[in-house]
Amino acid sequence: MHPTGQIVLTGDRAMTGTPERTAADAFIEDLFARHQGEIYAYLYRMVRDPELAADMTQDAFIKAYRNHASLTEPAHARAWLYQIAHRVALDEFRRRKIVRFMPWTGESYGSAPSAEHLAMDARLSAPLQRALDKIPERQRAALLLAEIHDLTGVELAAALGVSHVAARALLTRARESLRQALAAERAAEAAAEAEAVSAAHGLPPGRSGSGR
Amino acid sequence: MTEGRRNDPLLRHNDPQSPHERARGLASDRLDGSLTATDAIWLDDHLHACDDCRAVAAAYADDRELLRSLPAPQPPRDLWARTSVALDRERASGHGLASRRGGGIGWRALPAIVAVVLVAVVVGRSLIPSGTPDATGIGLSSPPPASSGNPASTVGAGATPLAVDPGDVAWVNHAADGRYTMNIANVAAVCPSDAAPAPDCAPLDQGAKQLVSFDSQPGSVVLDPDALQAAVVESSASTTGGKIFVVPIARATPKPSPSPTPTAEPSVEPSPSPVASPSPAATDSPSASPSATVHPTAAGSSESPSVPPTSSPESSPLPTATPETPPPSAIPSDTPAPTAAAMLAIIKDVIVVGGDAAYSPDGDWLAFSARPVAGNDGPDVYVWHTGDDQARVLTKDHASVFSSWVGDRILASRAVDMAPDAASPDAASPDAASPGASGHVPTSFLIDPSSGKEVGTRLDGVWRPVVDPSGHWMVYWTGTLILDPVARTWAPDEGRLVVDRWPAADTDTFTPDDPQSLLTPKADVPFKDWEVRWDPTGRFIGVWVADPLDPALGRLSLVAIDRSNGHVDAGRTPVLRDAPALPGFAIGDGRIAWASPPGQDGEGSRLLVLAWKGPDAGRTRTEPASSLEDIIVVR
Repeated sequence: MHPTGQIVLTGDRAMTGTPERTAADAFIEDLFARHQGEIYAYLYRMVRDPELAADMTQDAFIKAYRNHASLTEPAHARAWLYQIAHRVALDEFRRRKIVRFMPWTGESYGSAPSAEHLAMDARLSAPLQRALDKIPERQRAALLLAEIHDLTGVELAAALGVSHVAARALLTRARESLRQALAAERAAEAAAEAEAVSAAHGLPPGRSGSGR
Repeated sequence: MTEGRRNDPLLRHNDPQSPHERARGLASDRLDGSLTATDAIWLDDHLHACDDCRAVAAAYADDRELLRSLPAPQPPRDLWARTSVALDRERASGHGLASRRGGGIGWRALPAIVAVVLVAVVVGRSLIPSGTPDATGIGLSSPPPASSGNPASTVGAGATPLAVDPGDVAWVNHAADGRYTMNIANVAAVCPSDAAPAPDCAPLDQGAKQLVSFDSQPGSVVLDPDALQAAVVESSASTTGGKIFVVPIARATPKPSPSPTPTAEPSVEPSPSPVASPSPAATDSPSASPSATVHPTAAGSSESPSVPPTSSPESSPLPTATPETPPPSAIPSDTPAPTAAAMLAIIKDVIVVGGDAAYSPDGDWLAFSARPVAGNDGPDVYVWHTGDDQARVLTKDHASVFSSWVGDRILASRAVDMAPDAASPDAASPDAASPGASGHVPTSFLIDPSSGKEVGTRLDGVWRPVVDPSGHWMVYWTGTLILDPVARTWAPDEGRLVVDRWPAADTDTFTPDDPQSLLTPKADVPFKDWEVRWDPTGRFIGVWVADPLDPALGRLSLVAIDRSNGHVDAGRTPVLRDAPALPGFAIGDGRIAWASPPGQDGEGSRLLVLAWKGPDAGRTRTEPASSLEDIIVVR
C-alpha cells in the first residue's frame, strides 16, 4: 500500500488537483501541513537560530519528499519525519564551521511583554536554555523529542535512529544531564545574585549600620 | 541519610550497578509510562527509603514541566513558500523521487546562489499592506490548508526569477590588490532564498561595476543622494581613532548588471529607488566632474598643523579637520574602473559614535557625531558642507550624538544627568560623569546645520530618533541610558525601542503620543546598540541589533508598520527575522541589503539582498568574500 493512502487527509484534493500533481506531491503537501510546525520547533530548539531552523525544516521536507518510498508504515510517518529532521540537525552540527558564534538574543518585536512575562521568562527560560545548551546534542535531542514533542517508545527510538533500549538509556542520561546542568545554572545564578546584593548594600568601613 | 539507606549494603552512588542508578533509570522510565509493575514496586520502595533518589525523581518530573513551559517557536511565514519552491526545483531537476542524494539543498549549504525560481508567494505576500486580499487563499503563517489547493500552483509551472523594480546596490570589499573597492550592481531580478544551483541566476557580483577604490579600511560608507561622492568612515579602534574622508564617485553610467534574465513579466513600473546606491539621476550627467563637489587641496597634508573646527571655542583638544593631499590619480570619466581616488579628509583622529553619518536629503551636508580619540571628551555633532575643506563642530557639550536628518535640519540627542537634586538637567559630559554614577535620561533636539542653533521643540525622553520619510512617525529609544566608560558615550540601559508620532508642529514641550513598542530587549540580555532605518514608503523598518557579546556583529530584522497607528503589524512581521548581519544595512523601496558576518557557516562575508515587488519576493547575494574581512554595505 502506498504510504499516501493514510497520510493524505485530503484525498479529494489529490484527485481533483492539477494533472501533473503526483501522489508524492500530495503526500509531502499534507505531511508539511500536519507537521511543519513541530518539526520547525524541534529544529529551532536544537539550533536556536530561526533562520537556520527554517532552512533545516525545508531540507527535512525535501528529504522526506525524495525518500517517501522508504516509509513503509504510514502510521509511523511522524516518527519517520522526526528521524529525518534529527539527521538534518546532526548533519548541521557536523557541518558547522562557525568562526564567529552569534548567540541568540531573543528580542521581541511589537507589543512589549508584560513585566510578569519578562520576569517569568528571565527566571525560567534563561537557566533552562543555558542548561540545555550544555548537554550533549544527542541527549538534548532525546529530551526535546520525549518531553516536548511527546515521542515515546518506538517513536522515540525510530526518530533517534537507535534501538528502543538505547533510546531509553539515552533519555535517562539526558534527564540526569539536564538536572545537573540546571542545578549548576541555578547555583551560579544564586551566587551572582548574592554577590549583587552584597555589592548593593556594601558601605565603606565605619559607616555601616544605622549611622547613629 | 535515612535509616533505610544505612541498612542497604548496596548504597554506593558511584557504583554503576547501584540501586540508585537503577532507581534513576526507572524514575526516568516512569515518566515515559514504560515501567513494569514489578519495577514500579521496586522503585517506590527505593524512593521511600532514599531521599536523594526521591529528589532526583522529583527533579526529573519538574524539569519535564519546565521544558514543556518553554514557548513554542513559530515557523516563519514564508516557510511553505521556500519549501514549495525547493520542491518545484526538486521536481524540475529530475532528481526528485528517484534521487538519493545525500546533501541537503538548503540555501545555506550552497556555495552561492545561482538558481532561478520564481518566488511568487509568501514572503512578498507578507509585505503587502494589510487588507490586501490573498487571492490564492494560501496562508502565510500556516502550512497549506486542506482547502487551499495545490500550493505549488502559486509558484507557477516553470519557475522563473522574480522581476523586481530595478535598483542598484553598492558595497565595498577587500580587493585582491589589497585595496578596498566600491562595487555597484543592478538588481532587477531575484531568486528564492532557497534556490538550488541553476545556470541562469547569477550571483549578484557577476555583473558588478567597480566604482572607486581606496587604501583605508572602511568602517562604514555613505553615498550622497546624487551619488557624486561617498563619505568613508575609517574603521577605527577605540584607542587609535580614524578619519572621515570624502571620495568622488565616477559618473559614468554603470551598465546594468547581467542579472538573471527574468522570464517572468518584466517590471511595468521600474522604480528609481535604489537601496543605497547611485540613483539613476547620477548617471544622467556623465560630463559633470566629481571634483566640483570635492575640493582636495594641496595646501594641507596629514602632517600639516591641525585646523581646529571653526565654530568650536573649546580649549580642549578637538579632533582635527585637515585637508589631505590626494593621491595622484585621475577620476575616470567614462570608465569607472577602480582607482586611487582623490580623498578629502574632513576630520581626523576621531571615533564616530551615535547614529551613522548621513547626508542631508539635498546632499549638501554630511552630519555625524564623533569624539576625539585623545582626551576625555564625549561626543559632539559635526557637519560638513560639500565644497568645504573640513567638518565643523555644532555642539559643544561633549554629550550629543547625531541621530538623523529631518528635512534640512539635524536631529540629535543628548544625555542628561537625572540626579534627583538637579534643578535643571544639564548635559552629562562623560568626562564629568563617573562610571556607575546615577543613570542618564535622553533628550533630543533639532539643529540648523548652517547656524548651529537649536530650533524647534525639544524632545525630552527621546534618544536617537529616526523619522520616517513622510515625517509622520519616528522610532526612538525610550528609557534610561548608561555611560559606557570605555567608549565614553551612552548606551541604552532599561527601556525599549518605540514607534511614536513625530510632532507635526513646534510646541513648547513634547508629549509622547502613545508610543508603540517596536522592540523590547530581553531582560537578561544587554542591549548595546542598534540601527534603525525606514524604507521610503514608511511602511517598513529595518532594525539591526548588536550582539550583546560582540557589537561588531548583530542581527537584522525587517518589521512592517501599520502607518495608521504606528503599531507593528504582527500579521506581517517580521518579514526578515534575526538574520546575522554586520553593522550597516541599506533599505530602499522594495529591498533591503545587508552583509553577513564572515565565518557564518565557514564562509566569508556576503552581501545579501531581499527584494520584493507586490506580493512577490526573493533574494540574491554575492559570492562569499575570500578573506575573513567584512563586506561593507554602502548606504
